[in-house]
Amino acid sequence: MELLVKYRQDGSAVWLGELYNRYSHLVFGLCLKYLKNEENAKDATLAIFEKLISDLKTREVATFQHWLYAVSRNQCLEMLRAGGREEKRKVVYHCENVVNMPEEIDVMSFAEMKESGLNNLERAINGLNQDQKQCVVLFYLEEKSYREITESTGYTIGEVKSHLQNGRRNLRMLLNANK
Amino acid sequence: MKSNLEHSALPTAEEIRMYQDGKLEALRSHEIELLAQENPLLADALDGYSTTPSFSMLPLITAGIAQTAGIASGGLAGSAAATAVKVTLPWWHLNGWIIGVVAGTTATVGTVVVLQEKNNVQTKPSANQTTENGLSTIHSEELDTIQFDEALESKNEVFSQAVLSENAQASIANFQEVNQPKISDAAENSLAKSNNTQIDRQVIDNLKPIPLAEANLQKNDAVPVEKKSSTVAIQILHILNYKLADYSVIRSEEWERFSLDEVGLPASFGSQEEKKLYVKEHPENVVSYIDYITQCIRAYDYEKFQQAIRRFNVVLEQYPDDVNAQFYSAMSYYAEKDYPKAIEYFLKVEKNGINTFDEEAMYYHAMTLKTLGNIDDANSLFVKVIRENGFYKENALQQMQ
Repeated sequence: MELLVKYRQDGSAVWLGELYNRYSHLVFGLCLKYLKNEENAKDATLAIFEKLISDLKTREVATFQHWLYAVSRNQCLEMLRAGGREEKRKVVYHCENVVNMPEEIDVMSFAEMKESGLNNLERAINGLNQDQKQCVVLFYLEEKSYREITESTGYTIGEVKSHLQNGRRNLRMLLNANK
Repeated sequence: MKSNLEHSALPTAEEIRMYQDGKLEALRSHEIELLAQENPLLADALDGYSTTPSFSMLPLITAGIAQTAGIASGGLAGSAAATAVKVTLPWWHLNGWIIGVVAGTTATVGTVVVLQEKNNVQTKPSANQTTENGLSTIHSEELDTIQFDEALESKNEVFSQAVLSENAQASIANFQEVNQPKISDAAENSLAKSNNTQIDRQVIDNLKPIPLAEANLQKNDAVPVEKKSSTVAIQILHILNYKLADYSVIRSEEWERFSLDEVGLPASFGSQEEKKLYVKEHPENVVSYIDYITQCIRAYDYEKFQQAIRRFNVVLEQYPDDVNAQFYSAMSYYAEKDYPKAIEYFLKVEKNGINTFDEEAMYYHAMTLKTLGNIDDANSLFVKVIRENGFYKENALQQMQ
């Protein structure tokens, strides 16, 4: 945020360059996910930087990362919308189109769940189905990586992610029901 | 989002590369995965690299950012220039190599990239920094070990005549923006022609895209559905304004016939022979596939979804891969809010070799997932729909926003 303040003070995009470079590999990865083409993803990553330069002069952002995520995603969607050959043309960006961070609905972080008390959490974990329970215990309690979980359980990485996501959603429901 | 994640906790590009290769230690992998659950930017980035591991593009992006930052700041002359190159940007360190970047801004040239052999050394602009013909040159003793003179002789058009200092013995690869993607090839071509270069080829390898086979190995199966590799587009026909795949082209002209008994409730036969016998004996009681499917569609049109499901099942008993019956069964289950069944049938349609309903199936499959709260997988499918560039593209875009 310090860099943002400096940018507003002297208008030198160099500060933003430094800030953006901390995230540009993530933004590029996100663009790869949506655009599936490294050339277009590179263009999008640079276009997003240009957008930051113009928008952040005036716009206050509460959390840079969240705002960057929304802007990046919208940039990719805009490029997909433009479609085909037009993907390459510089996309004119409209501020109004920037959506807020999509809420990760129904999913709370594990740290938040722990706040409900370990006894409650344990009971809730026991209420999960076997797949979800196994993944939740291995990931959150034993702090295993996805890869380790796939090796010990035979699930694919996709299945592990899915069980964890659904597990967290169900845990939240179980915890709320217990309250 | 209630995360208090600091940027320092985010993985570097190198860590992501190692993570994808399975070479990152387990505890750090776990940390990154934990972060990704609360940080959609990181989660999407990991997804992106897992399917398209284009790490070789990153130096070009850094270069582009430096150039844009320089231009937007009114040039890199004076203090701004010094600031630009003094900042420490950790992810430029690719496998111990630094890609130092200085933006050339006073003329129309592109970015200048210096390949520097020594680890952890910042590029130091000094009084020696000059501008000739609009090209920036760096004089630095740090670069002494790099001899690129012959590389410069390369006729590869990507390398323009970079200004070379005698004592720097460094080659500066200058490339126009349009040629940026070619840099890795170009650099390799040039190096190949250089006899006495001391630069390790590893730096060039770092700039190369990861081979496809390797890339595929890294691909995970986060996306719920993989299409069959070959799909067939066949004629489309419309019944009661509903789109259907026209099987008359691939099935025999004498379509299997359904007994009238089945129009309403499925009749069962002990075997195909038994059915053939029935058809032979009761020709007045049988209808063609097209007539039968019309009855099915009619039930669907009347929103009698349970009846439609029963009728489509009759078709599926005879033709298990009938995409019309699969798709409209899925839609019937969707309408009936039987989502697990709907997903089961959407998956069948998506895997079906006949692609008549691919887009619709993916779209409604995504809608089903979204309804179930599985936003990640729903979004992956919506992206696929958008990439189909068809009728559902706008809807999918709206759903994602």
